[in-house]
Amino acid sequence: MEELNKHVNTVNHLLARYGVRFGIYKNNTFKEQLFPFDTIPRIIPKAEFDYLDKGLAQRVTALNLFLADIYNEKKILKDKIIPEDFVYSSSGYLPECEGIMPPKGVFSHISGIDLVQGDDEKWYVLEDNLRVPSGASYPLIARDLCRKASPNTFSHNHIEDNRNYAELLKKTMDYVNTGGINVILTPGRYNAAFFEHSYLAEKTGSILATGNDLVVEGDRLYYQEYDGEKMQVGAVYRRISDDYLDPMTFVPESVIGIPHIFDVYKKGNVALLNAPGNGIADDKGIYYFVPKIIKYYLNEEPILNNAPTYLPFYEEDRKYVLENFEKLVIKDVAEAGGYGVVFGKDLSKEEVADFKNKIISEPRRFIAQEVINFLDLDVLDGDKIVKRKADLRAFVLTSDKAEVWKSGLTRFSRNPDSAIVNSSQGGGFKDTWVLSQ
Amino acid sequence: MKELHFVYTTKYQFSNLINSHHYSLRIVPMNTERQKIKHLWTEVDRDDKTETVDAFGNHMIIGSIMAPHDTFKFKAEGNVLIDETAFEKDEEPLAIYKYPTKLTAMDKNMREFLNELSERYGYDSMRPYDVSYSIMKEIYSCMEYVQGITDVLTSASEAFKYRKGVCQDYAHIMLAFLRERGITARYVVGMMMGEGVSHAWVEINENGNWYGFDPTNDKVVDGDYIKISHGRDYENCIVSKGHFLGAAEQTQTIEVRVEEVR
Repeated sequence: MEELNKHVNTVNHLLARYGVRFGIYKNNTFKEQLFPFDTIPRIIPKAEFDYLDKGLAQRVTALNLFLADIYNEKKILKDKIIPEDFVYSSSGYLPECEGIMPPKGVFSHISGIDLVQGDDEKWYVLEDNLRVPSGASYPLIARDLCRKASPNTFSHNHIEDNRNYAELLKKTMDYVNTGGINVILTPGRYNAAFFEHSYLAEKTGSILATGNDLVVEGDRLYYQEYDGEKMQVGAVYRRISDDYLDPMTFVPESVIGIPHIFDVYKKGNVALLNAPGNGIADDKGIYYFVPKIIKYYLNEEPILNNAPTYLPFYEEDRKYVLENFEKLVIKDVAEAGGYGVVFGKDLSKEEVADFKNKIISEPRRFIAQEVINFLDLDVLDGDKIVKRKADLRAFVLTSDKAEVWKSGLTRFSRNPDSAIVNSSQGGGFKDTWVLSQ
Repeated sequence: MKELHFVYTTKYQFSNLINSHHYSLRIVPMNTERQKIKHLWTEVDRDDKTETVDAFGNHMIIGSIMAPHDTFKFKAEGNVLIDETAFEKDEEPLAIYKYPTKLTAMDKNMREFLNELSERYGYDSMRPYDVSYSIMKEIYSCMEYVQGITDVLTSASEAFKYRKGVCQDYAHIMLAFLRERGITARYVVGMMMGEGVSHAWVEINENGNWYGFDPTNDKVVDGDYIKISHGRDYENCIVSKGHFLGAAEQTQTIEVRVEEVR
């Protein structure tokens, strides 16, 4: 490992040369920046990862069943496990998806589950990302470069090889493919994760396409070559959000989408990964109900814990939140990417009062959580090793069953006082080593 | 039983050539317990089309015209049998019809108005059908039918503030009130005898039956109406939606004719 740390500059230099960047919007301008890599990996012992593996597969399996139910039979609402308000008032619920069962019944093909480890070494799920979770390529390419910089590190330690991600992804696409080629749909090079789109296309043997390359004719979707030749498309791993997917069904101003692709999907003639409408299952309000969702569909006790969460929607919880505001973290259910997250202790007296009023007038809009004391990880800062907050995004790929990738993206905050680790907030990343024995 | 003949024609003229034109049309009347299509002819001036059904059960004709063109027209014509004594059945209506949308959201002004009505008439002890009937009457008498003040994206609360609008606004305001009262209600687009363009009204679900109310005409929906589509609000029922490449102004001409066959 010390061997590897000597190469931190080499690896970061290589990452820069390969174009591993993260683009962010700040003050309305697009800025692409390097996503700093820290050579000290997060190491997860085998037994611990086996536990995570079971828990993550269980969680994603249940969330897929939940999505199929919500857009079809709605048993969980009829049985009053979840108040229907939480579904129908959520911006994540898309009425356009009513009655649709996607190919092979899979809604969330690629799921990114964000976890943190508390200082008591317990793991907590902080967030499920079932729409367009990004980030798998970072540990993948970093591992590749580290292996080049310090091959000994990997031959002397028993580390699960993470190079099978592309294989898992290809299997996931092939499983739902309705006949035709696999395509990765990107909004283009100005997207924060464009690097990842092109990397994954190359690794899975898919075609990287923008909306202009795809066209609907009759009831099918085609990829159009420069010479006008057309190939039928059977699966689209789309890296654009639901809103922009089809201007005929969703935001009409979208110029990155494909008119009528949604109609082809509805007829079962193309698979969309992930399925439109998944936003209802990773809604921050629905998060609270995930343990109940697991029990309801699988008749099993949840293996992984949620962070202790309160719903101001329920009177009892609202009372607790208002009384303990200063020690909680409050999240706006409509926001993502580290935006709309407020720590009660950081607000002034007036701000606290304002915020409490907002909670009283719009209780459905917020959730509150106990602040978890993270187990800090070592991060290399120049020659020194410092402690920083970090999370783990685990990737779960669902084909005939949910499979957890034996790696993951560990993001850390470079600011010692901040616990927000999202890459769009300017953090760095680490490789995640899962030990094989 | 009443037999109605209808013709619905729309023509677009573009000021320049456009291309890569994609369209979705909701122009075919529904087959329900209440209305049955006897004859139907549809014509879209290019033949590369297909058919589908949206999430609300509306029939759609969709297609694309990739080559440059400067006109686009379509037509639906047919005969429909209306049984005025029958109602559309739906024991388990979609729950989303209970929830407001952006276009049918309430504001303070509307809430005060509704609360006043509710106290005056005692809505709390009335059945949904009667509450709906009363709300329809009140909207009809407080609103003024004026074209050009509102457009297709005007919300119920804006139109209610002006107390002016067209059938779409009347229907949105009524939906906002009904849903605030907890009544399952939806937006309907269709045609009506004596009206030269398409028309909009609302339906409420009571005990598994859908009942139509037309606040623009202060009328319970009868045998003069042909229903085409329904949804949460205008956006789910757009008759003709298009997306094309090209810098062009468009002029739309709509002709609707409904007459009784005797």
